[in-house]
Amino acid sequence: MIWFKRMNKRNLISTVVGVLVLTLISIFSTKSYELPKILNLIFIYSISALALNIVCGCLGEFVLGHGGFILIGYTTAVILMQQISKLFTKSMGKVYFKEILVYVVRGGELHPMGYVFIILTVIVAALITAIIGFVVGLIALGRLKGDYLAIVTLGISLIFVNVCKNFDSLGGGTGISITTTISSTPLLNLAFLVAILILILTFMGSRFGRNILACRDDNIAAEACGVPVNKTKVIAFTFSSLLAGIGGALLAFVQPQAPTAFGQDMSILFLIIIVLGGLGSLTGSIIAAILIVLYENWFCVQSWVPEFFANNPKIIYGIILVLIMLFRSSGILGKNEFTWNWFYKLFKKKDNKKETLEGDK
Amino acid sequence: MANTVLKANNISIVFGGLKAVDNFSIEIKEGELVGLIGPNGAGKTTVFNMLTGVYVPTSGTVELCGKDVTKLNPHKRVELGISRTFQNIRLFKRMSVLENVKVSSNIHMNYSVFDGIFKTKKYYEQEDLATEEAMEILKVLGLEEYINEEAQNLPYGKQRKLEIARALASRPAILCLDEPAAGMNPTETEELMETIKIVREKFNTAILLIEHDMKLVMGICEWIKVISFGKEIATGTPVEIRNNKEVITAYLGE
Repeated sequence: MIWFKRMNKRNLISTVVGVLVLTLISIFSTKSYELPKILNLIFIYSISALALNIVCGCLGEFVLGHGGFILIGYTTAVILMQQISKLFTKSMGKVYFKEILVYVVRGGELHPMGYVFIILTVIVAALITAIIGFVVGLIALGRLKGDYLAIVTLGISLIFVNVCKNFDSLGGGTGISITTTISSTPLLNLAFLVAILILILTFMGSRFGRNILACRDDNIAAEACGVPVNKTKVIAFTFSSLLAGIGGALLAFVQPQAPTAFGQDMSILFLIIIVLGGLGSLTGSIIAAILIVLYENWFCVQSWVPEFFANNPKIIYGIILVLIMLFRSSGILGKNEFTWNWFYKLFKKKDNKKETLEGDK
Repeated sequence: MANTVLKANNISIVFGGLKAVDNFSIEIKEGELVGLIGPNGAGKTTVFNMLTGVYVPTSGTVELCGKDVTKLNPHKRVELGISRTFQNIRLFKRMSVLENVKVSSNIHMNYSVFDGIFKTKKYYEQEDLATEEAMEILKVLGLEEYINEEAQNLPYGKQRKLEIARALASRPAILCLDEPAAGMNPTETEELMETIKIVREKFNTAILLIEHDMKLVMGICEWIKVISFGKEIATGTPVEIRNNKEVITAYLGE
């Protein structure tokens, strides 16, 4: 419990309160129709963006194949779920299994067994993605860096996407879909996001995180300081694909039909998110994910939005990227993290103003 | 009789058709302060790179504390007790001064990913020890007031010192300094000489120094090796080197 003693109590309490508020929102969001979908996407996009940020922001290697790893997580989760549901339908009878997994969107609750199934599936899918990421990292990261690595990851993700497109058992042209009607809840996704955020923070605070940051700033100097550079890069890449696998697997329970956007569009989308939030800033990624999801799923469906935007929501991303690069190349938060200090400063300033006003009187 | 820390036996390296270093040998004993000088392009930094593992010599062997390290990676050699600084400063620019130094402590830590994530007792023991050591080194080098500053914001002279501090954190048996006084004015050079002396006493390490500043080299080195066009031309004490005809010819021409 040493970590507890060393934490800034004010920040800790603020964060806990924030998470509690989000939890309550997540629980009660099931009453509405649109809100759960938006919350789910926010949490899952945040997870996937965080995963990409570890390699692009913290390790400083440019990766173009993030969508491929999300796709692996997604496909693995779907196949696992299909197998589980077959197995259970056989042994328990169809009716009982449906009862377990059914999730009624309006005011419904997920059966506790459903949570167990989802969590187990997600963990297995993440581990499989991590193993594939480890192999890819071992092959590519040791010999390549910079642009070459980016191109290799692009190629690898193209392989994944095309394999999935051309094998019917992996989804075929239309994308794989879950045949059972199981869906996850915002609460579960929030729990995953919080757990992953804590995981990343503690990981980056350890010697492994320090090595990753050292490799970002200077490979040669890191090697000369006794940091095993290649090993560190493979660790970071594996960790990133593990989290991408979690993101993809969670997405499978939210979006039963794989969008055709999977693959390259996803890779670009998450690059936009982390650049918008600030490379290397974890909380920045989350803020940017929130903005992008709200823009696509809330702003663009409003009736007063011009039809042109509503039909082509992605058209603005290019403009955003150019504007960010021109005016704030470090992203919304830069390399800083979101802290509660600004929140308290807000109140302090008000107090000061009050005092000066009173003094004037 | 002091033990040999670093020994190079007839190392040579060929780049394409060019023999950059030809049959270079050196033996450095515990706690010695040795200078390696030579005109521009003589191959001094190439020698450094072979000693620290950036290049593998075409022929010859390198021994570190009695072990053959000719084919080992740089980070493995650091574990065996060699560490270096760079001619053009290579700090971890966006990390804090303290973190910069702690990166080098990595080789003395052995906690696992699990310990790091769950912050076990082992994690705190090793991290605290590393912080303590880093603070001690930073204090000796007069950088303790900057610990939370980003490395890139330090003034030039302090950045040089930070590089030395970082190299010291791996507890080296031999410290290789690649032109530590490059770009410094006379006062800063003077200060650096003091620092090197203090470092040698406090941390009990041998030092190999590449330098252009003759005042610095002649002032502090116990003995000096001179190379020119990849070949060793003289070895001796500062006084001997100063009066060596070949050295004068190499530097000033005939």
